[in-house]
Amino acid sequence: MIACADFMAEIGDYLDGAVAAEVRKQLEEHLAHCQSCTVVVDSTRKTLKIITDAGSFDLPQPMLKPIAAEIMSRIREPRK
Amino acid sequence: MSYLGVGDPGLHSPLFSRFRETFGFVPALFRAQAVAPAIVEAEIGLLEAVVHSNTTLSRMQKESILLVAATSQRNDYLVAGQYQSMQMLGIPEHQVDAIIADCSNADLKPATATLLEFTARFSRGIHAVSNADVQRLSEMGLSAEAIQEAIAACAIARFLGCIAIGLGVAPDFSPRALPDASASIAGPVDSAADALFTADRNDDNPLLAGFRTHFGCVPGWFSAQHQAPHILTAELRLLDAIFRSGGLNGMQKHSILFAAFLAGGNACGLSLQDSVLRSRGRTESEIDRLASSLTATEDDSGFLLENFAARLIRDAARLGREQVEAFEAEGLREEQIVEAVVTASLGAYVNVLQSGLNIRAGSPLRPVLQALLENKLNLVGVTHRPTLIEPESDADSVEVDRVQNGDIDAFEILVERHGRRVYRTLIGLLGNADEARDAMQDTFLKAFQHIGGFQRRSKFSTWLLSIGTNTGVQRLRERRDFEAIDESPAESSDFFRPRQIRAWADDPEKLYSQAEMRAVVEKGIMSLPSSYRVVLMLRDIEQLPIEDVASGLGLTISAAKSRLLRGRLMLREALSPHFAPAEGSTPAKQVHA
Repeated sequence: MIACADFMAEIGDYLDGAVAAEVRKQLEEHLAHCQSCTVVVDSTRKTLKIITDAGSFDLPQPMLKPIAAEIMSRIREPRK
Repeated sequence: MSYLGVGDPGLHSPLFSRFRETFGFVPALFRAQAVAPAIVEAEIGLLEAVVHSNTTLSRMQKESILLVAATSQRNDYLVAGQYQSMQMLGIPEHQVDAIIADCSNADLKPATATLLEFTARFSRGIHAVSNADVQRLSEMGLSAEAIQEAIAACAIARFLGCIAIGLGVAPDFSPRALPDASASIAGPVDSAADALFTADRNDDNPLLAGFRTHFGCVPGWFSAQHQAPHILTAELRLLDAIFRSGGLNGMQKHSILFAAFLAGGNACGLSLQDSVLRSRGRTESEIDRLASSLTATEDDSGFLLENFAARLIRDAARLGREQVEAFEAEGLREEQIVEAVVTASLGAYVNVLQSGLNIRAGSPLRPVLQALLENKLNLVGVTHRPTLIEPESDADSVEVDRVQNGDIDAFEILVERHGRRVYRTLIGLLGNADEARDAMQDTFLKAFQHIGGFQRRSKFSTWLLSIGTNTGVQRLRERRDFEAIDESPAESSDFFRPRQIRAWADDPEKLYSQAEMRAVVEKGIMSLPSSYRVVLMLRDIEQLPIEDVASGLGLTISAAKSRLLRGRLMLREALSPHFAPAEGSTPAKQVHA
C-alpha cells in the first residue's frame, strides 16, 4: 500500500490520465482507503473545471475595440 | 557564483594573480571557467588585443562599445562589469549612466556618439552592417579600420555575454538598471553593405595558415582581418586553446560551431562547417538530420550539445540552469560543459564578425541547409514546429495570406479574433491589466512586423501566442521578476502537503454568480507565485500542450510539469475556503506522509 506522499508524487500525471495501468491501479487502491487524497483529487479536478469555465481575465469586447484601433493606427502610422 | 559548482581550484594560479594585480579581483566569468585555464588565458589575450590596446579607436571608445553592446544584449553580468571597468578608467559615473540610458544623448564627441549608435543598432539586430551605416561612420571621419575594430569589440561583447549566460555567472557588482527595451523594436533593415574588407588570399601568410589546421581553409572572417595581426594572433590562440582542450572531441566542437552558425543565420559559417564535418566523416544525411533537429522545437534527438549551442545563440535570455543540469544528468564533466559553452560562444563571436564584415560564402550552401537556414531566419525567436501545417487546417490562413500580400486591413480581423486570448495570456503573466494591454499592443506589432516570414509551421494562433509569451516574459525580466520565471521558489523534492482537505460541494459553480466566480478565480490565480501562474495559465486556461508551454518558457518538460502541478495544488488551496462547506461532515486533518 502506497503512502500519501507517494500518491502526491504521481497526482499530476494521474489527473492528466498519463500514468501506466499498473501505477493507476496502485493509486486507485490508495484512493479507496484515503479520504484526504480523495478530497485532494476531487477538488483539484473541480478547480481545473472552474478555472476553465469561469472566463477569467476575459477582455470584454467593448474594451477590445479601442485597443485594436490603437494597434492598427500604430501599424498604419508607425511614426505616431 | 555560476551554475557549475566551481569553487576556486585555480584561484592561486599565476593567471588569476594577474587579474588580482590588475583589477583587484578575479571576475566571476573567468573563475567559472577555472577548470580550463588555457582557454581563460586565450580569452584574456583576445580581450587585451581587441579592447585594451590603443589602436585606431581609443581604449575608452572600445570600452564604451562593450558597454553599449552589453546593454543591447541586456546582459546584466557584462553591463555591471563594464560599468565598473569604465569607472576604473576615470569615466564619471553620470556619463556611464548616460551612455547606458541613451548613447546618442550622453555628451560625447560626435564621432564617438555615432560609433555607439551604430553599436547599439548592430548589436541589437541580426542584420548585416548597411551602406547607410558605413556612410554615417565615414562622415564622422571613422576609417574602415575603425569600423573593423568596432565590429571586433561587438563580437567580443557577444562572446563574453554568451559565456556569462551559458555558465549562469552572477554579476561581480550590483546589476545596473537597463533602459526600457520597448523602444528597441527594429526599424526597416537596410540592405547589407558592399564588402568592406577584402580577404587576404596570400597563401604564404603564416598567421593565416594556422586557421587552416582547424577548418581546412582560412575562413573569410579571419582573413578579412589581415590588417589587424594582433587580433588575428589572439583569435588563433583562442581557437587553438579551445580545440586542444581535452574534454570534448573535435567533432563535438565542430558540431557545436555548426549549430551556432545555423542558429545565427550565418550561411558562410554553415557552409564551412558542413564541409569540415564531412571531411571528418559525417555523411550529408547525418548533417541534415542534425540541422533539422536544430530548427525544430523538440530537442530529444540526442544532439544535446548542439541544441544547447543553438539556444544560446538564438534565445540566450531564456537559458536557465536546466540546461547545465541536463548536461550533468548526461554525465558531462565540468571541463566539457565549459568547453561546450565557450565553443558555442566562439560561434556567436564569429557570427558577429561575419555579419559585420559581410563575408560571402566561399561555396554555395547545400539546398537542404539553405532551406533550413531561411526558415530559421524567418522565425527568429518564435516557436516552430517541424511539420508544416496544411493551410486549410488553420482557420486564419485566408487573413494571413491577405496580410502577407499587403492587405493591412486583414490584420485587424486577426487582432479582433485573437486579441482576447493574447490579453488573457499576458495578464496571467504580468498580473496587471494596464501592462497586459500595453504588452498586447507590442505583441501584435511584432507579429505584424514578422508576418511576412511566417511560414505556417504552426497555426497562426500558436505562433501569435508564442510571440505574446515572449513579450510577457521579456517584460517580467525587465522588471526583474525574472527569478520568478527562471527559478522556482520551492522546487525541492518535498512533496506538496495539502492543508485544506475538507470535501468540496458537489457542484461548486452553483454557489456563486458568474461574476463572483470569476472574481474568486482571478484572485486565486493572482495569489500564485508567477512561475507557477504562468505555466498554469498557458496550460489550463489557454490549453496549450505542455511541450509548447515548456519550450515557450525555456523550461524542461519535467520542470514545466512540476510547476503546473504545484500551481494547480496551490490554487486548489486558495479556492478551498470558497467551495468547501464551513462545517463539512469530513473533519479537517493533515495528510500523512
